[in-house]
Amino acid sequence: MTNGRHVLSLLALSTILVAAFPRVASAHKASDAFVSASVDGAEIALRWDVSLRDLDIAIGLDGDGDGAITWNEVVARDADIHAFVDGRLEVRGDGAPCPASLTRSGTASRSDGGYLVFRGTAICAQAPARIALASTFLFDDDPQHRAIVTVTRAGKSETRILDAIHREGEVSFADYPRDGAHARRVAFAFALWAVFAASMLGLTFVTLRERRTSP
Amino acid sequence: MTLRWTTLRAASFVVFLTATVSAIGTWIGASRIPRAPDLPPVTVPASGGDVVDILPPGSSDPSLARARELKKALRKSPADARLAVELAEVDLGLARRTGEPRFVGQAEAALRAFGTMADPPLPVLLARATLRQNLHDFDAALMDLGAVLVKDPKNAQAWLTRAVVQTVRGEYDAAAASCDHLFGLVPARVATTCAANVDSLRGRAAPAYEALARAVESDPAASPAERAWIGTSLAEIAHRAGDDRASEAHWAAARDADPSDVYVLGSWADLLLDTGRPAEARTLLRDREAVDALLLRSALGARALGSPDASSLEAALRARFDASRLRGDTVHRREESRFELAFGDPARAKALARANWDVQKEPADMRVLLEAALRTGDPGAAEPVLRFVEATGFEDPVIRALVARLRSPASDAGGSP
Repeated sequence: MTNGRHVLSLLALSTILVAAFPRVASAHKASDAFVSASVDGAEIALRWDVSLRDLDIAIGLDGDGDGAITWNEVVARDADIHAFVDGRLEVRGDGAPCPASLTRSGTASRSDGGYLVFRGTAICAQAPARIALASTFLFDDDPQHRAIVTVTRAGKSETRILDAIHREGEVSFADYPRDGAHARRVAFAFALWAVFAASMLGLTFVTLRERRTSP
Repeated sequence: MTLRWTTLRAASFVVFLTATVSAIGTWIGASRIPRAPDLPPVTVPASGGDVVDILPPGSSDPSLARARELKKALRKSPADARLAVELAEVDLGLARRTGEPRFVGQAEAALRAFGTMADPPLPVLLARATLRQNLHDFDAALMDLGAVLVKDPKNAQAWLTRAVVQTVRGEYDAAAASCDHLFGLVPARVATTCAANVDSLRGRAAPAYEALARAVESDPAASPAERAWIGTSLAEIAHRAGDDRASEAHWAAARDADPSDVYVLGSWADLLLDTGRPAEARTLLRDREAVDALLLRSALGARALGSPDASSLEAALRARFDASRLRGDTVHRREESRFELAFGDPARAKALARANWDVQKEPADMRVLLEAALRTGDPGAAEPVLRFVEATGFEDPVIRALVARLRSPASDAGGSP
């Protein structure tokens, strides 16, 4: 075998082996980001958890390459992190944009590792009945990425899973009580109804007993 | 008359009580609104040196820097197939070494520009087939490989990948035919590994082991990655032939060739768990619990040992499966079924194992369905596996023992009526 052929066969082999291993068998879940939006009138409190591992792959956080990301390493890349995430999350109320600014507020630990948490408030022009959240974060770098969006209003939560194809999720609250004050009005009305219903029940009971005891 | 007034008083008291309680209850319920969903607490690290995340081993691999360079270059010239294929290969290699599926997604992004192309270049088709295999999209992978082989019938990589996918799907005759094409195209030891693996699944484990051992003896593997691959095959074939001692020696060799290989660690740990050595399994998996499949084995080992951390490992694993389900993943069904069988709900384990069987038919897939059927006293649920074992002559001793228990009329199948 000539030297040239040998090199060629080795090259071919290394490519073959990379491809042939049936081995990445579902090691753990792929990339997720978590968005939670709590609606109170025209204000929407946002929390956005972004995986530190995603940021490391994208811009490299592990400065010293020791396999552990420290808080210093995160803070040192603040500008790059913001450049990577800013403007990637949009909120709309009844179709109109609700401007939001998000700031880094700490870290959170989830089942698959550490997350960087951003928080902020989106302000809509008026209390919306439909809230849409759109993410353009990471889908172009990783089509397996999902954004798990939870919108909460008046105690009701709904979840939407955004992916590379469906990058926007809408939650409609038209049927729900609008806020705490509305819910208290409903409670008052219910209490009145309960008093009325119970009185009717009591009266019926008394009348029945009277009929039975009188000859 | 006195009686009537007492009744009336009692009735009005009941009315008052009912109204008050319901009003208070509703009021409290309303004031609790709105309630935020449960979120993990946010902490601001007290010191800059605090570690906020541990990356999976291999993440500081130099190929990660290479991947970033290639990504930048590809952004500038997105139509460059050579750049795209190289990036996809680097990413898939990273995924294999780190056990981090994010790199599979990165590989998908690299090839996306060619995703809708009717007739992409051969290297793109090949890389896409491997990617699709990794995403458990076996139908699409076979389609890409078929397209490659029509254009280039001597493409060894396509035949080998096709054999692997066909084997996972339990199409052993087709897989053996694919392996046959490799003889003459690649070194004999590679073709023999392919063929021996398929043969060992068709009731010919002992001769397959002999043939492969002989082939490797005369022509040793060229690279550590290849040694790990061939070692894996030898270990699995030896186990199917009933020789666990030889199997363990091959697992050890495969691990030494590539210490980061997740597949090797998980399979070796299974052998240790099956042979009653949970402590050794835990030692083997130390510090690798970021990978779900390995955390599962750790949790099984901890429970067998009665370790104090058994319940925290179980909780961690449940949280990970919940997170996977939330995002709509279905590729973890085999592992989740095994988890439910050990720690949770056998009926759910059975449903997961059954759904998994429709997609993949490796020995581990047979095992979860057989065990779930036994546990739930429902031998009928295992019928597809029983037929499959019969048709292929599959001889793995663990699977055979489970089949025998399910078939015996006095089976301990949960005392079903």
